[in-house]
Amino acid sequence: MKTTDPECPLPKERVDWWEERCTHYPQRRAVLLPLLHDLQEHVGKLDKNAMIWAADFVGITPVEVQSVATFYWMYDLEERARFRVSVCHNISCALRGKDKILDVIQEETGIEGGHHIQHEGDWSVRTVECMGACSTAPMMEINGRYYEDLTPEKARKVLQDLMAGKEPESTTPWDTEIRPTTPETLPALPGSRLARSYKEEQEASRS
Amino acid sequence: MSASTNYSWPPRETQPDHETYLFNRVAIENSHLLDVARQHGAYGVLEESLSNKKPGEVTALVKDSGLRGRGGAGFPCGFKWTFMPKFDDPRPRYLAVNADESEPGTCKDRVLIREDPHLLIEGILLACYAMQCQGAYIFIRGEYKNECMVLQKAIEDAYAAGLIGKDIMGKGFDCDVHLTRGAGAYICGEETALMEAIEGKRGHPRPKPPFPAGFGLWGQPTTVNNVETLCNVPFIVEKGPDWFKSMGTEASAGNVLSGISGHVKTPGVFEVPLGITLRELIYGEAYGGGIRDDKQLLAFLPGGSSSGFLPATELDTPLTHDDLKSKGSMLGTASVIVLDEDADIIQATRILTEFYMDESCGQCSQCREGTSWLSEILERLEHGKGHPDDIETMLELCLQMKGKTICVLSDAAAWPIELAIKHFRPAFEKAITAATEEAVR
Repeated sequence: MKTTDPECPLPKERVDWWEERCTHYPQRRAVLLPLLHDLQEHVGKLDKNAMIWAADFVGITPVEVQSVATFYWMYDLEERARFRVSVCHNISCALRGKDKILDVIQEETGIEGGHHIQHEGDWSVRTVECMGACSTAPMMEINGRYYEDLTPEKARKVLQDLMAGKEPESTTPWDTEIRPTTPETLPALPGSRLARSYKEEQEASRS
Repeated sequence: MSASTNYSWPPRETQPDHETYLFNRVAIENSHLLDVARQHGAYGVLEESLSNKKPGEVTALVKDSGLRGRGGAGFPCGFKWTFMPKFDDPRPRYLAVNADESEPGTCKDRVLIREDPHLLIEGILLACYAMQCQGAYIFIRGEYKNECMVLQKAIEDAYAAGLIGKDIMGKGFDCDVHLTRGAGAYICGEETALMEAIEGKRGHPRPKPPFPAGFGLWGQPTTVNNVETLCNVPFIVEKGPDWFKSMGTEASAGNVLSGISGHVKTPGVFEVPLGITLRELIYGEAYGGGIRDDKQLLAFLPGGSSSGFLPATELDTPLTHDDLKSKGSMLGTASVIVLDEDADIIQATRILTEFYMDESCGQCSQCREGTSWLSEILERLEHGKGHPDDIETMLELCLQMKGKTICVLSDAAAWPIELAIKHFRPAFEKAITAATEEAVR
């Protein structure tokens, strides 16, 4: 897979951040899963260059990175759409009418949702396994945000809001998404800057 | 810990008629913030324990309480902790926290993580203190991006307040908490696959033995606990094993979070004492509220997708590990999925089997091939194209899939089919007869 030296897909401060994260684990590759999420957000997909760069960064071969990237469904190796819709098709959502939600999505975006991702313009749609919103089924997820307790009307409103460039309102009376906390923003990536490095941990445990 | 009581998510006005503890803080506004959580008692037990209790005493309390793991297998938690090597073992030791809740029907840990992350962190630190772990690694499923951020914020705040890290609360105990976000794979909820994923690999379960307590994360002694299990720990340490055993039944003590979904009037996640009957959970006004549109009950899954379908005649089964096991089912994650009379049992079984086919990691042929054959057969049954020997073929496949693989995903795929055929055989036979008549004509 490797033919040329990869270009660094991340800005310098992100690389430094990941370099610091690596010090928290006995092996550098422990940062791989979150690192691939970050690369995907920056590049828009996990392309060959990004995977080769990640392999060099954590010190494994590119094919090992590819094998991880293809194991988990949330990594996209192909170009991603602007609005990525995932609809749960597992039992709780199926019992409470995910088919009607898929019908609405087809009417609004022209995509008939199925197990394989399908693209049309700004949109991509696929059905996925249980997302953990069973008591508020049916649900859909768009670009990482959950829309739960859906009815066809609520789903249509969300899609139309997004098409009009508006941020949709919560579809549940209790707002659980990206909760307002303190004025500072939520950290975007897992891993605490305040944690001791692996080396410090080791030394502390020996003393 | 606090005076408030709450038993349900979404929160309700009604007061529970049993003692609650796990959900007491989730109804409080901004309960996920450190200041609010501390006003309502968070980290009090940790401070008291670090000052006055030895690690072994904490383990003994949890062991005596009879707390069983809430992640599905129901293994006694305190007993699991004692598998860790003695304290004079020089190797580093870790706690891995399973926040990869992916069992269909299960949505309880998500509420705990999002609404009360500091309860989880307190439980983690108490477990780390009891086992003298120098670090905890939380693995949260990739889909829970929002919950991941809330938990990360909670960890940051706890670090800044000196509740995690070096010399916690000035009591001389060091412990770090790390968070890894996954990328979508049910199999990572299996304890050894979870460790592989934390290490940055494909989520392939490891053969056992060696067990995690001897060879876990990076080859070091590790204990894997579920989020809800750890959330029980602060209360047990505070109020004692006898208090804990006063709830639930003798063999299944304490309260459990039960998510109710499917064809009920008021789905939700409820904190209930173990031993409550499924009739009460599905029909009780305080819980599921009965079947939607007042239809009849056809079947229910008492503990997530792997537990298998039980018919309406089993409604009076108590929600405990042993009672459900005696019915061929299991408590699992205590997530009840309800199907009304109009639901198609073959379609429901097919949905579950397709899920296991999708999520099989592909290491063992029995599971990889078995799940795809089973879903192919169920697919044709559902569409009226069944073969006369399909039931026997499926039962034979299930037999070959159980107990022959590295992990229990293969078994979990077989159980729902076996129970569906056991209790709803006429529906399967009818589908086959119809198909045969169609073929003759």
